[in-house]
Amino acid sequence: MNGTLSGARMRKELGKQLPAHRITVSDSGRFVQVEADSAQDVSFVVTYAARDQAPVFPVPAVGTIPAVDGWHIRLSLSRLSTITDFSPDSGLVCVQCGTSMDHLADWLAEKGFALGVSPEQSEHMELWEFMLSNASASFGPRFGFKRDQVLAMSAVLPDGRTFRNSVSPARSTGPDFSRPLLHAGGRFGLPLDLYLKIHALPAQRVFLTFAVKDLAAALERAWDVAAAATPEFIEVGRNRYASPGLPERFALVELWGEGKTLAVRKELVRKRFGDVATPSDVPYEVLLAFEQTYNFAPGQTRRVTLSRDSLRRITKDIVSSRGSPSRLRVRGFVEGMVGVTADCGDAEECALLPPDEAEGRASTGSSRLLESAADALDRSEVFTRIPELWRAQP
Amino acid sequence: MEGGRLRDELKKLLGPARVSSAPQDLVTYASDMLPSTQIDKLGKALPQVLPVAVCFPEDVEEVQLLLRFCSQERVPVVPCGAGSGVCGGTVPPEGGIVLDLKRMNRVLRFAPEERVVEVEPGIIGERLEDWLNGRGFTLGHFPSSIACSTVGGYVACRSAGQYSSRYGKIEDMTVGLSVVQGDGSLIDLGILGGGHGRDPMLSVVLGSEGTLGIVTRIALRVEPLPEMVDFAGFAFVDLEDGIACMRRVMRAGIKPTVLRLYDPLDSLIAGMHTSTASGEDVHRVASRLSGLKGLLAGALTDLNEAGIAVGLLNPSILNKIAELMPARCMLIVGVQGDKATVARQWDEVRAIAQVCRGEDLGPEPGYHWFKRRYAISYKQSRIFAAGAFVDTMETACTWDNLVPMYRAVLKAMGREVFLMAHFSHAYPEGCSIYFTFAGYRPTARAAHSVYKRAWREGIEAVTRYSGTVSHHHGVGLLKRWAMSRECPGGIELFAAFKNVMDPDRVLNPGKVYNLD
Repeated sequence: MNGTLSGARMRKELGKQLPAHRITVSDSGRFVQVEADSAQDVSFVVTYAARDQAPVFPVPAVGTIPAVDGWHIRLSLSRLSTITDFSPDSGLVCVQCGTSMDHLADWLAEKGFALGVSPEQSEHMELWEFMLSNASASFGPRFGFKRDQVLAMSAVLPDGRTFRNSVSPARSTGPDFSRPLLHAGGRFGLPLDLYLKIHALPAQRVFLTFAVKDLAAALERAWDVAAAATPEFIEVGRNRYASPGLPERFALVELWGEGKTLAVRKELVRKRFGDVATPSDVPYEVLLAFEQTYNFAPGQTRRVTLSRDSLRRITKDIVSSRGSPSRLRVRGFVEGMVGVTADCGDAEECALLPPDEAEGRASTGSSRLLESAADALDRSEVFTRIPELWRAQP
Repeated sequence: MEGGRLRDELKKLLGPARVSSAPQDLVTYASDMLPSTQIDKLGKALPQVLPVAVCFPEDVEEVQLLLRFCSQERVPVVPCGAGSGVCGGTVPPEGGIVLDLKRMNRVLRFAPEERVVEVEPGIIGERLEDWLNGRGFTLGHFPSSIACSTVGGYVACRSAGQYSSRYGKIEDMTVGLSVVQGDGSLIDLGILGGGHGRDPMLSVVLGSEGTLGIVTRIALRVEPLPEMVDFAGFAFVDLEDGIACMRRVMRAGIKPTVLRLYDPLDSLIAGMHTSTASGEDVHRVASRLSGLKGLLAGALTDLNEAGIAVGLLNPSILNKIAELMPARCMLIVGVQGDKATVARQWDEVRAIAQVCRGEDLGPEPGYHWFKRRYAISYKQSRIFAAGAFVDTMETACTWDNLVPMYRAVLKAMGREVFLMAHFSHAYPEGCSIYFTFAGYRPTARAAHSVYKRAWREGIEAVTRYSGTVSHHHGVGLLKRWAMSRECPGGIELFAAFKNVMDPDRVLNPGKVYNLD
């Protein structure tokens, strides 16, 4: 870190391109906050930061910036909130990174579209934050994981230069650097805009509910259901506090489509669940309302992404344990991965769940390579500490 | 290090039988199927740079040994599979040694319950597929070069097979890699390293064409063989209707085995193999234009040299005539699954085709394609033998840019070469276009000049529509100049990984990105 940095100097340097009203020097902390209005602004700020070795933190809508020993730059991306391209035919939307997820969802819904995944919480998050962080998202067999929704992107690199890849459904042009950019929490760069896959809201949405007899068996069958019927959403869960008349163990499946195809898929779901889950007459809306009664308290809730093997290993413990997790939901069933949310009574109960195996989790050697390559790229240590933003998240 | 001493050292490492410096080997390994090297051969020119030696390691330890030595001595190392690449990915521009990996061709592990097979990189694609089929599984990767390409080569350049709409590209199948880095150290990624098949480092090594490491073990996702696969053909009044049909099929969430639309000229040359009334119309038109058809078809088959010269010296005229020909577009569709699934998918596909004014030609065109699906790879040598050149440019973009990009490329390249295209490798968001082009000039030097101009014009047209300059052939030497347009900023990231994985810069120098 550069010991000669000062708020006045940073304001002066940044003011060469940015208007004064978008640069604020903090009174208490040792930082300068900049409101970027364009990709060029971001690039300019990062270029300056690299030259003067000033750490940069994008300002998150959720979470806080860690304590920094010395002057740094806080970069607000909120003004980069334009939807710059919308292509219903190709099923794509190009979105600037400061756009909030709830605004994007509303905008798409007005046009009859939806993203393939959505935040499970913190929908106020901005797009860059949603993508870089480990914030959980609903994911399902039809559309995959949240980072699979990105077809192309641009990003500012730690030296201020801009990265961009072609807007193509597939490529054979060297390494795919968008993956480390998205998976390394911001170490390699900050997204500027993303081409996201979108899907027309269907003519019909069918909600199937099931009462489950055997949770372990239902979890196993859910993989078959996912492979055979490719549902838009599938969840298997348990709620020990279910109201009278509502199933304590249940499965939910959502299908989009119409006509014969939809009928065939419905039948496939029922067949694949077979005798481990019987169709329930509890309306989905009621179950949804019941679902909303989930009140995962801070410190008592674990959200983890697990592999199929890990899920199988813990299933036995979950089923055999007397009361915990008292509430559990397992979603996803994509490429051998599930998202698990568990409401535990205490830390001991939470410990039943293994560590997160989030999508894209690197092997040990891989993590080391990513870290070394990020260091090689970011010699001024401009983005080195951005991943700390996500460590505080549940 | 001087060549003779280098060869001696290599022989000490591998034994004399597995290090070759025979002139015929050095000439052979100095080029792959990059067409510009074939043009050189038209001018009777041998490759300008030859490797010092060709090495044939048999296991990962030997690869490590070689790389440790080459890294210390700063000797360039070019990995090579079957050498069937068309972008110069295995050409050794700085000499050094070529590492032929075909002796590393074993299936290392097969876990049907996990649906994973682990193989060495030198196994030929067809051999692996046969091996899996014998056990009731498939990789689902069917490039037209399947008989003469290796799995390591697929990984090196992010290959795609003809069933990619159903199974994805090789990067979608790869869940783990073992990689020997420039200094000889071995690293395991993805499931081989105890992580997951979505390890972000996999996407860095995949497609890196041996510039970051040499892949010595590949874990691939496999699937059970489908109960049945069925094919059919459809004819469309024009290209736009055919593309609309493909797009609707993909957007509807159907995952066809094959979806392959030929442009009017390619449809004509491929032939509408059908007995329907409309199909006969096409044949009648073709018959009336038999002289022209012969000329056009001859560009890709067996016309004599004089015919090629007349046609290909004036590509603009030829392309214009082709454009005016009243041919329809043929779409080949394949679906797979159990009987009920296949029937359901046909219902859906046929309904969509009908909306798009497509005529169902029945199964014959589909099965005709299926029988000849690998034939194209064996046709090109005839063109070169006739003194002309032929090449392919495979690109991809989003659905709404597809037709404009196709027309822009025809216009741009059509000034230099005669060309046609088909649309395959369809995705929900877009599709690949596979242009085949041919040219002729009486001298190798003039042919080179036309060839280069054609590529430059074509790539510029593609990048105007944000398309990719390569969908599945890779970059190699051929397209690296275009990487600054394809992926601005990519070179900075590439350099960062190169500094970590190959700091002495011995691995496949000059490929993908030019760091010099």
